[in-house]
Amino acid sequence: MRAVVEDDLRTERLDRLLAGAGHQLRTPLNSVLGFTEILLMGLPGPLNEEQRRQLHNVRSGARLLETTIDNLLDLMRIESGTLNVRLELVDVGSVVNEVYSTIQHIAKEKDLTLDVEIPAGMTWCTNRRAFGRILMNLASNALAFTDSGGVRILGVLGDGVVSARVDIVDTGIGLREAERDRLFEPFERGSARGESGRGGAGLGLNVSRRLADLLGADIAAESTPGRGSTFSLILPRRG
Amino acid sequence: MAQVLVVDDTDHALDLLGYLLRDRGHVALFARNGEEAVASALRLRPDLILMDLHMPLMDGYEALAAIRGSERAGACPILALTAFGEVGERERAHAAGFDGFFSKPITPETFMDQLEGFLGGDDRRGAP
Repeated sequence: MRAVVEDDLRTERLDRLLAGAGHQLRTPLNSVLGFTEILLMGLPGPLNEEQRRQLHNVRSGARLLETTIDNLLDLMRIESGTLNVRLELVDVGSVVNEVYSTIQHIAKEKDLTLDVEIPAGMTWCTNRRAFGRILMNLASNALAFTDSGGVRILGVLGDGVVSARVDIVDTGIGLREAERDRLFEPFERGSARGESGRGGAGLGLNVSRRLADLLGADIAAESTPGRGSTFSLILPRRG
Repeated sequence: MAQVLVVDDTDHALDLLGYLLRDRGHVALFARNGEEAVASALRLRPDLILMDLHMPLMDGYEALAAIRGSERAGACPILALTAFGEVGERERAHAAGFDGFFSKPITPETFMDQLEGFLGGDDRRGAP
């Protein structure tokens, strides 16, 4: 009994510690990203090409840091068992729209298309936030590893035979077979991907797979090198 | 043009949001904690309040309750803006009665578009 209480206390302390750490990391990042964006928007005055190029570098570095912070905190919550994945009925379209509005500016900056096709009324009994984090990681990765064309987020309704799923389809650099097997390891990147200097993956796919496990879902990857990849979040069938 | 009260205990955040609001032709008013926020909300009756959640003296939740309970400013849309991230906080803010929830770091252009969606008319789009 005492051990249980101590466990609960430790969990609560750890949860508060992680929340506090996240706060302390995101507050300065808000300044870095916010003011960089203001400069890039040209609000204080026009920029020359070199200044613009360098500020783009600041921005993409800061965004990578933001993703890493979010994923690292999620990973620590998963490892310590403090992540709360309460299930509720979630409208898939509304979560995908939130993801879309968060990352559409990245597509715009890279001159890529970003399309969403979710059947009306598609719902899933899941944890809204974890579901959103997975889609966000998969879709941001797709944009990071695509240079022309674009990314589509497609909802596929299930029936008695196939499970419902959400596909993230890109026209990016793709993956080789050997890379695919290691893809979900933390800080692992496909060698072609690693050489590409895109930063990218790191923790995102590992965290996504572990969140998917918690939700009873699965993530599958299909790819043709040079042609693109499709990552599918396969939703469990529920009675 | 709208009057927006920005409540935050960090100078950079006030500077950033003030700059963005003025750029869109709005008037930015500032408060550095919940107590100042309540006083300013009652005195100045802003069109919208952007509220940090964790601040010294009085936090965003207490300030929200005090403003909501007042006759002068009770109907003002109040949006939460926090660096605490989404975990648990979004539900808590929504349950407390915030009209919207935003997480730092913000993407200025997108954020301002969404903020302006809460201004004018009775178009109160509560973020889930």
